[in-house]
Amino acid sequence: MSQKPTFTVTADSIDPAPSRALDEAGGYVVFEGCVRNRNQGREVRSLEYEAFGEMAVKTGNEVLEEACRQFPILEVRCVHRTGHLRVGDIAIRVEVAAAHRNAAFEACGWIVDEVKRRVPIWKKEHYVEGDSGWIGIDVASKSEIRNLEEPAEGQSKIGPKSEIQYYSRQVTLAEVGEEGQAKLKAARVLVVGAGGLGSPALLYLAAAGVGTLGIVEFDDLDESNLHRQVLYSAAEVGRPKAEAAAERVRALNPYIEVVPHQARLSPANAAELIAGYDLVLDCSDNFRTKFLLNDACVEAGKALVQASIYRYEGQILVITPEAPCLRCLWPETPAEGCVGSCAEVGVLGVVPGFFGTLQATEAIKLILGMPSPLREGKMLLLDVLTYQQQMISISRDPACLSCGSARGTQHPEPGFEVEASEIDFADYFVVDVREPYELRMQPFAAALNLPSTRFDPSRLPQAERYLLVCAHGVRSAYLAETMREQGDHRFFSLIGGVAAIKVR
Amino acid sequence: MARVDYIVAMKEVKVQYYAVFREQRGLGEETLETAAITAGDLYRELAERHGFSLPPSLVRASVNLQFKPLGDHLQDGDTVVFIPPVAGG
Repeated sequence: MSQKPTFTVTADSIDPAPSRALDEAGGYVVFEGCVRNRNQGREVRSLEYEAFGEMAVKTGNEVLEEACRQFPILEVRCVHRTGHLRVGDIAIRVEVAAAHRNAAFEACGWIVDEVKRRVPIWKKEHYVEGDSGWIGIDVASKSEIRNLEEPAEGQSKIGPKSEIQYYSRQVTLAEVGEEGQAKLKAARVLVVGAGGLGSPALLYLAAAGVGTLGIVEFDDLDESNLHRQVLYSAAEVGRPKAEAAAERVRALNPYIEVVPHQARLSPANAAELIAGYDLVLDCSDNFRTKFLLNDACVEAGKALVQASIYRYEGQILVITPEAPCLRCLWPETPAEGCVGSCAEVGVLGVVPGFFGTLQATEAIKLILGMPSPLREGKMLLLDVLTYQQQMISISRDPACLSCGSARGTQHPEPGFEVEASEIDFADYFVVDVREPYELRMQPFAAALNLPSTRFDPSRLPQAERYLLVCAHGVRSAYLAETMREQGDHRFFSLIGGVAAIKVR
Repeated sequence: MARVDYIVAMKEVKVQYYAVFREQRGLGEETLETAAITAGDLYRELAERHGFSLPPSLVRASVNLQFKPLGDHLQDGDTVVFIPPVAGG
């Protein structure tokens, strides 16, 4: 390469003058993108381009450097114009020199596409009718742009048409700015659990402009969810939550990518699920998922913002590669229901609302590089009744099973919890441990109903193996573990409970 | 037969209860005098008195805003918070 690739942004007009050629270059390709007089059926009078300053130049140079690695080219230069352009003016010029013409053509085409997709430069078209509209340069597809610009019949014509306008009220913050907004857009965050904690977390992460939001949630919406899971609407009861959540989040912010994962987190899929993300939020409601996420994130070196609630209290913890992890505090995964089962404890919707919002806050602070006391290995405990709050320091355990010297020496997952898809029900004597009223509402084919609240193993017929089933796998896990602690290892629990058995 | 007198050092500690402990104790915090030497001893003493259902192996104790092993010795004037594992969401 005879000259370093350069990407520049200029407010001056770009002359259609040829640049110097190289002796070694057999092919020399120049692309000039100009302002044309029509876009999607509207007649255009002029265009305005606005760039996110340093980020635009930085990203543009990254694109050119990648092009040099991918294609056998000798020299590349790119200039993008900002400011007010008339029809016919050059908006972007890309010049590529290569020994052979094919590489020059391919590299040039690739660069134009990548600049359009990644470089934070926005254009605003001024139409002949006198109105105008901003177009996000890397909005996913043309059809989405069309939807933004042409609202359905009967709908108000006033809607968020501009990505810059969308974030304008937060970009003015010194801690955000253009650079911070670009960081949010580049961030990929996975939210595990779209329930009480996940609802506010997802809404606020989307609203802030996190560019890629993943949602892991297996269940369908239940009527009893709505008092705290404010992401959904009552008409959606019965609908898979991952799908409904994705739709709601996309409606709030059409400028981001939302990826629903309709799955239950398990040792088999955890690593793969988190691989595509930089930061994970634990918005789950059971120990098994929490500890699994802890282990997977520690293993992959991903930051994890974890929260849990109990009645009117909650705790929040931020786990990063430098900080202590959950197993530094609790080496073994506690049994579900050891502190009271889901339906028994009860909760006001505002409590997970509070903590889910705190989780989004910590995630945003992390992405923007803002400091946080929670990142110094401190757990925040908060009681929303008294507002009593404390931050308790956790010491990193050098012999931790997850992040310390004992990692990999022990598989901490209890083997008595089984997945419906991995077993044959005929191998077990199936016991339904729910209350009778639950059976009436959601029947399940079990051999016997023995409610957990008055569980008496002496009433069970002799069998080699028992499979305990409850609504979500929480009570059954607690019972199975209790029986095993008493020395009886014939008891197993169905992961996810009756809710996990679905006909698809 | 030799007679041995033990002098028991009583300590004053402030105890705070979190989540399920708050419910089982019936209040959020109290100051009390105890002969317990470690946080674990204190938990066992309180568990027996108030019927805490969680086994000591699952309890974590914060002493003066730092999580400490249950075997660490308590000092007069310490603030102890007993914390169970919590998973709600």
